[in-house]
Amino acid sequence: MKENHLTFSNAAETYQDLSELLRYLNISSIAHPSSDSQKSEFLLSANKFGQSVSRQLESIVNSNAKATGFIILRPIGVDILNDVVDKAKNVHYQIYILAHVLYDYRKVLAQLLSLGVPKNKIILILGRQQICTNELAAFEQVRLSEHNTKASLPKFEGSTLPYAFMHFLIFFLSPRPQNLSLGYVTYGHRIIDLFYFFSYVVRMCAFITFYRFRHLLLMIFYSFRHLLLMIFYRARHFLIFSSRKLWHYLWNFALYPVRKVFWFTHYQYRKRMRGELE
Amino acid sequence: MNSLSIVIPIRRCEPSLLVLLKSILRQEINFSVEVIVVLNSFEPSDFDVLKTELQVIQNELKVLDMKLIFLDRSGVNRARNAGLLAAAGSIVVFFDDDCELDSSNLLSMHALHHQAHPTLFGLGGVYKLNAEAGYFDRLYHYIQMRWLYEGLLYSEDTATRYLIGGHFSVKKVMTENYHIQFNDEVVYGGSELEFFLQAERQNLRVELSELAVIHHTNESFISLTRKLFKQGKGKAISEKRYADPSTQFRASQSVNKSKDLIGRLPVISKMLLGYYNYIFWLGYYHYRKQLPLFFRHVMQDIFLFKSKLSEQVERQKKIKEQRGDRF
Repeated sequence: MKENHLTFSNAAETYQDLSELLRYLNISSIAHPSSDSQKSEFLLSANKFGQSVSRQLESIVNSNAKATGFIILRPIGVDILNDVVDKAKNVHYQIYILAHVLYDYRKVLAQLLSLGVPKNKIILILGRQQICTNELAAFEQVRLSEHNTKASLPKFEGSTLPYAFMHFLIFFLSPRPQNLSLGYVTYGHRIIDLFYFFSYVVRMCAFITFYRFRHLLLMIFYSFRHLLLMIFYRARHFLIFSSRKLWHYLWNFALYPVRKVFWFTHYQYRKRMRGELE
Repeated sequence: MNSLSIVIPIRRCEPSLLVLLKSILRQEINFSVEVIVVLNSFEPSDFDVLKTELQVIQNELKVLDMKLIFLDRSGVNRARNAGLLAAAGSIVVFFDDDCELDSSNLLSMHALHHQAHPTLFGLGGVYKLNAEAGYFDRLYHYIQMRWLYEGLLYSEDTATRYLIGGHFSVKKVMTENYHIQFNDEVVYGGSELEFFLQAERQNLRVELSELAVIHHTNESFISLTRKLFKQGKGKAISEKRYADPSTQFRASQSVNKSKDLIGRLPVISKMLLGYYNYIFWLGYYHYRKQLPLFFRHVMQDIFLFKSKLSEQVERQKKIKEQRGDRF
């Protein structure tokens, strides 16, 4: 997958503070073991409509004849900014601003604009979770991909929903032995399981995206289907035995008013057949 | 001292032309600029109306040095050739009439870069969408930009094979010396490709920059279909003289090539892009009278998709087997 990456490589820990900053921002910084190479360079590779375009960048710590851009990582002096503005008169030379919370990059932006740099010369490099406000939307942006994080690693591909749902079902469907009385601890565990399920639902609702929502709906449907199929295939008695008492209460007490209606219509029918009703 | 000519081929007098001309007036420049508006593809009955409309614009923008050329035959390339011939400036910039110059330094950037690099033949830029662009405008923009960036020769260099027709500049002397012209046969769609293929043959350097103009389009499903069919035809025409042996296998490759980015788009957009890709190649093979080849590519793509799907199913099956099932 072509992605947007910024890498900083320098000779063995020459600019330790800078590489620490980049590491904090989850941007890869490579320290070459050989101390004789004094080179340090920024390389930005970006996905442009399916094509990977890579650019060598300059910064305060390094200057490069091949560079086609200047990257601003911290607040810098007016003298350096003026030099950068002069260089930006070249068509292919851009000014990149790494937008992060550890300095006021909006101030730098305003400074550049006040020096007469047109908007098309400035490109913002945003982190994965950087929020883009309306005022920043006027500038071109490169959003960095996740690099070497837990989220970028291959994930568990299946849904965790069926397992969470199982905790819910255990409360109702698990067999209760007739002769043995279960301890309160067991019921406690089961109630905890039930709470686990509800917390899962709440979590899913809170951090849901469209893709996840669609996925969730599908998984609910399939898990129901799966349960139905499996119940009738192997564990039919689980359902019947565990829910016998529940069914008794439902049928005789909870559903009594519903059944009453049908009795009434049935008696009316019988009366009509006998000719008792005109 | 540089002098710049701007060539704008138009089909009819639309309000977007005035927007473009006004944006040219806003440019910060230290050298002389002339604008050449070339009218083509109009009906004889509309001639007087169009002429008066253009003269009204000419009177409104008196500061601008504006020339009008009327062609009796249609074709955007014909208009560009006429503009190129009439241009007095050393650098000729081509814009489409639906463009607007956003930044005030665009023209000076073009001129200064040409001045600094005497061996450079052409310099082009990209399109930018306006805020009110619709869904199909965005799709069209995506298709155009993908094509434009596919032309880049190296990932670390700005050298490219071709540029987009609505925004590029060339040196007039070099077009004369190397006998480079637009192909009159192409009426509309994919018109500029052959121009740059000629330059590529003669080892001339063409660069793609990040300079952008706003592209005001108003596309719909049908208009975009028509446009891509014509662009496919244009490609076929330009490859008559400049044949490329790998062309036969591109129809199916172009889908696979762009899968990296397509992966992030919604399903409907993916399907529409696939549809427009086929329309483009339908236009291409329709002109070459090789329609069976087109259907072969479609079948290839279908089988490819099928095999990918089966791979995915097998992977999921393996995961489920390893995981075990509770029930």
